[in-house]
Amino acid sequence: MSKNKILTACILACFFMMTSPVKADNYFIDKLSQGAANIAFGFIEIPKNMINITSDQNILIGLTWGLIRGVIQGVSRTLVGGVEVITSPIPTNEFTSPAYVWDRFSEDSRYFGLHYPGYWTSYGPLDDGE
Amino acid sequence: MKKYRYLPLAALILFLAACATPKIDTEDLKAEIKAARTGHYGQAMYHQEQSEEDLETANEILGHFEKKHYWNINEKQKALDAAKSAARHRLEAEKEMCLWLTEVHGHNHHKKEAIHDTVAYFKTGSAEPFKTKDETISKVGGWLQAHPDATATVTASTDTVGKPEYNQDLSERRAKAMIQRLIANGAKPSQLIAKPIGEVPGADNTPDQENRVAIVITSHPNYRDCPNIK
Repeated sequence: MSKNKILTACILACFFMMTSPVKADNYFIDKLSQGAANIAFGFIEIPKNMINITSDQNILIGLTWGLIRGVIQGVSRTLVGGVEVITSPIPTNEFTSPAYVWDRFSEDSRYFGLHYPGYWTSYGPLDDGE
Repeated sequence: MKKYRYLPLAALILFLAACATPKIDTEDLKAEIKAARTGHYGQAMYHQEQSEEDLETANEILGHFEKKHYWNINEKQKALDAAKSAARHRLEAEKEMCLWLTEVHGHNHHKKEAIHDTVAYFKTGSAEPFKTKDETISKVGGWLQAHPDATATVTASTDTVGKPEYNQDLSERRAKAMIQRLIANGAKPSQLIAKPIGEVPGADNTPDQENRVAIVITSHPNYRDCPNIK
């Protein structure tokens, strides 16, 4: 059972990584894949926040505030991912920015154009804005 | 057992020493890289590359602003600095290119075209020359016509026969007479500078043909490539 879960996660990850850069003409597929990716990988907001806040401030703030903020962001991304999946047949603007958690890793995530307080102001070590 | 205590340590040091990457001398490579960018052309290339890199940075950040990416990171100053740096390097590249241009075609600049010749001889009290070097006058007129930025100075003088005031006026008329001839040969009035010097110092009331002359001296401004680039 455990092996199946890992296999499924790997297949899903490969699928989303392959589909994300492609500009899909089909809103439905695009939005559905974003929603599913956000549900599956929303938890990556935790290390993302910890890494970026550590880089911007220090390791202590990164491990504490970064963790708290990451959990809030992770839950938000997962929930918004669910909304994306549910509303996938309806063409709308992207609910999350960046659309995928691994896109523009130094950019603080926003949901419906709104951001949470306590964002960082410099690039993290995994992304320099390229 | 105790006497073998340092053996593993020695073995480890030996192993690490064997694994150490030998240091490669890079001085010759550095010299070659430096040589590729020496000279005005090399420096122009260097500055152009720097300008392109800076501009790429500025454009990339502009893209972030336009797409609302990286909204949480303030990159405005970085972009402004990069754009200014790009402009500075561009100007430096242009300057170096101009210097290179001068270096490779400087031999075409006007250097040996200055003419310094006595073109007319006058009799005492006369402003009409009795003898002229028509070939030189024609050459100077044609040259001035071909080089609109060049000028010619017509220096006219008299000997000491007569009053100094009269001789000053006479030298002015002599200079004007020569200017008319140069204009007739293609020169523009704005290119000609009259320099009536009156009497040439010497013993009073002494006729001297060498002083009753008009001399033409041409000059060309120092040529500079890209004079507007400072």
